[in-house]
Amino acid sequence: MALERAPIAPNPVICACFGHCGIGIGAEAYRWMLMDVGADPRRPVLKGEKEQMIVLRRYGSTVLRLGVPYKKAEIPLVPRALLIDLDPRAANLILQSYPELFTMKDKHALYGMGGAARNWAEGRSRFRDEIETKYDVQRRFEELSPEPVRGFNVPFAMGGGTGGAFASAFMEHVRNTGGGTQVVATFGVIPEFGWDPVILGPASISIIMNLDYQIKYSDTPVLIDNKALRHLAARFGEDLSKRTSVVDELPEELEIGWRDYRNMNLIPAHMISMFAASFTRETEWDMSNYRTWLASSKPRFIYPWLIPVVPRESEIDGILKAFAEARDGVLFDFEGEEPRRMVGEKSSACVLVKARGKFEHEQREALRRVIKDRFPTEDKRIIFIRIPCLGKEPGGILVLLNNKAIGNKILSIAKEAEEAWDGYKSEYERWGLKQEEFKQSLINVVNHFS
Amino acid sequence: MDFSDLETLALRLEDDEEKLRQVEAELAWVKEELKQKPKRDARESRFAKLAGYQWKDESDLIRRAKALEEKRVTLTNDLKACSLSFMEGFSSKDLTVPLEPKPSRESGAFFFSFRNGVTYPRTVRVISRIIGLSVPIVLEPVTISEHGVKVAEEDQYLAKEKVVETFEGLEKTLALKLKQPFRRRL
Repeated sequence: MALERAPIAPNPVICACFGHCGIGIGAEAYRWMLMDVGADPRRPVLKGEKEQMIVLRRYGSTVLRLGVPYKKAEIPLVPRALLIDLDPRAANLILQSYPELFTMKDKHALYGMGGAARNWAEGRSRFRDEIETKYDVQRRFEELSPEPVRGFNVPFAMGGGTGGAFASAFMEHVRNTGGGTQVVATFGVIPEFGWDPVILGPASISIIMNLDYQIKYSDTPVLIDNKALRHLAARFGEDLSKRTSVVDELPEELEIGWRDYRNMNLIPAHMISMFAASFTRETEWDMSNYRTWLASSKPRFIYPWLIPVVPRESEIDGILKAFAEARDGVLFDFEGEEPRRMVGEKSSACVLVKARGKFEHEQREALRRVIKDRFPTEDKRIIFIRIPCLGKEPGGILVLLNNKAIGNKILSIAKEAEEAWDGYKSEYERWGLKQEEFKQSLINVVNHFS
Repeated sequence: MDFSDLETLALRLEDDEEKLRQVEAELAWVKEELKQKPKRDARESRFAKLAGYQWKDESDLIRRAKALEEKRVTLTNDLKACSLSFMEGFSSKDLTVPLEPKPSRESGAFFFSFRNGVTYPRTVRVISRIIGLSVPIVLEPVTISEHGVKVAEEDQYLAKEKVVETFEGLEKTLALKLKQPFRRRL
């Protein structure tokens, strides 16, 4: 039987999306993955063993699962996605716009009683009261994945009240209940002050608290920066507008708040699909390997470099041309500083190469030279992971960088948070974040990123 | 710079703070008196006229207020300078924390006392106040008190690593406080 020849997929990975931003990015990432497997994201169904085989070879049943067959033996593809927010509007909108994608309906969502006032402490406290104690979170995981869960992809914004706080509490929850084998990969989005609707002082405090949780509980903490996303979205606006997006499917009158982020969200969606492909398609690389890669690093955070930002080619030579045509982009903003001067001695990189055909020695060396030129890294600290490019899908390269270049920006946010604390202290203490805890987190983050 | 120097600075800091508190209390009293002065002066002068003698203002409130204000400014500046020296001293790379190299075992934790049984109550108090923590300073799994440093670890070498990390964290946080506001490029 054809299915028996397909490689056995790794155990399931659930995408737990938190807050407006996390839900937007998570839903977009699933859409991207479904487009990759050639499925219709509005009604992804498989019509027989051949199609099942194609899907299993591309993402396995790791991020998608096969649902209960419809009539005519159509098998729905169900995202292993959980959309969690205090405010039900964002998740509801996605569920309503994609009724046949999120076929498990309300089982894909967890709601609270309304926003967390841009206050991390309120978000954390209400996660415990309105989600953790009200719902059986473990049962939700089992509904999305009857098989034991291997890990979680967790996208969220770090500067608001719900996403960052919920993600923090969730990471802690997984660590305390998962028996230590589940891998948590976090995709935290740093806001652009003065552009995103965040409040400088509280957002800085949220970021510091969230970073401390990521240091403690995330195995693969990925940092993305909205300022960089906005610039890249503008630079590659034409290419991105040619791709379809979740936002295109939303009712026109409800697009506000989503339209501005359409192209910005497509970029991390591409990145997350590459990240997922690295452990679903490559039999030698497992999600937990990222944990070991980063275990002794300081900072233990990575930031992505997409080549190209919007994929077109699938042959490696074509992909490498993206450098010459400046179609690549780092998803982090260094505030005008030159990152090559700040990377530090133990800089390392994990290079995910999704391309058709062979990846020859010369091509590998050419790629290595470009990486080293921008982010000086010893040869022996660069890991290459090959991802097969299947069907007609375009390929690309995702360089995950682990170095000290992100430190300055984080330290400037830490200073902002430290200066803001006295003014907001009573507001935070009211929701259970004591000065002692904040200061301990601040010291931990400053120490980690210095 | 070592903890003895910091203790001397901390002593000066706490001493100056106490003096400043007294000066501010006195200044508040004098200012309150000055507020009442016009009313009292008017009464005194009306009484003097009624009683038929020449009234002369003999209170030296204005002079006292001026002197106290000058003292307050001097003390505030001294405090700022002293606080800055303390923070610079603590966050300097050559700071030595005089801990005994061999820890003792105390209820499942390692305890590194300060050498020769010396205590540093003021230094620990000042650090905790600047950082915004209470005394003893608890940064899991490390607790810093006036007598020494306690680490809740099973392994002595790991415990030493935690001590180093904790002091580095405190130093870097103080250094961050000292830093000029970050240059923002818009």
